[in-house]
Amino acid sequence: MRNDNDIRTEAGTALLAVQKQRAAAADRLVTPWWYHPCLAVLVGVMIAVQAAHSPVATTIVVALVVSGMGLLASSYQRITGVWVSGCRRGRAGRITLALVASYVALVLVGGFLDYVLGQRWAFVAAGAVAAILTIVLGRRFDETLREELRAGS
Amino acid sequence: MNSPTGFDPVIHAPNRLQICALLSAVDSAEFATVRDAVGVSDSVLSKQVRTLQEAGYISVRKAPLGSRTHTWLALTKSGRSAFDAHVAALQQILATKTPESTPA
Repeated sequence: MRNDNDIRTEAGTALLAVQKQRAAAADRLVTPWWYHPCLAVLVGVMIAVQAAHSPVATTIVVALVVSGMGLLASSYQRITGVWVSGCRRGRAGRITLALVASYVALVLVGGFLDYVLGQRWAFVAAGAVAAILTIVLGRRFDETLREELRAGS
Repeated sequence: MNSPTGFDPVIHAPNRLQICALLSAVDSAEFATVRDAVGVSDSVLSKQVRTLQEAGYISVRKAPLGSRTHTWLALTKSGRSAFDAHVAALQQILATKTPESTPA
């Protein structure tokens, strides 16, 4: 018959196994160097194309960007063997929220400057800023996620 | 010692615990990735995945990639809750003091 110490030892071994697998997952989450720059270009172009004031151009670009994002995601999955969306609890999830909120803010500011004040360059600048934020916060998301997984949270 | 609330015998088996631990860290993982991480054969992993699937803890999705079909595994919402509860139960077991370890 197992005593309490045996049960406690088994629980400890099980928790170590859990931590080992989460650390292994963290090791796998190494995003290829080109992933964030490619994503940045796609996001930046999607915002910048609004400067054209052309529904046809916007529709074509959005379709191309969505296809490009799909291709990017499937390449990431093929290389790493895992998929992690940005929608998760914790600090990493908050970075995704901050990135999405910054996209919305940039589009709103760009729209105000372009449509109200007539500054046609506004959407191009907003696209460039969005691209830079995508690279910076995208890499921060990866680092934070790996830290969280290794810390067991 | 009684099993604390949340302790799940379906998850507790060593291979299944490792499968759930890996999947809890990601949204989904490819079958071969899980197999290599856990260090089991295809057939062993298939059997464990089927058990977890029957318990409603894992979803299995087939996705064509090039000329091959890849199998992707993910914890379901109830699987994620059950795994979190199981880990909490293990931590509770570990934190429980034995009578002899309690200071007099």
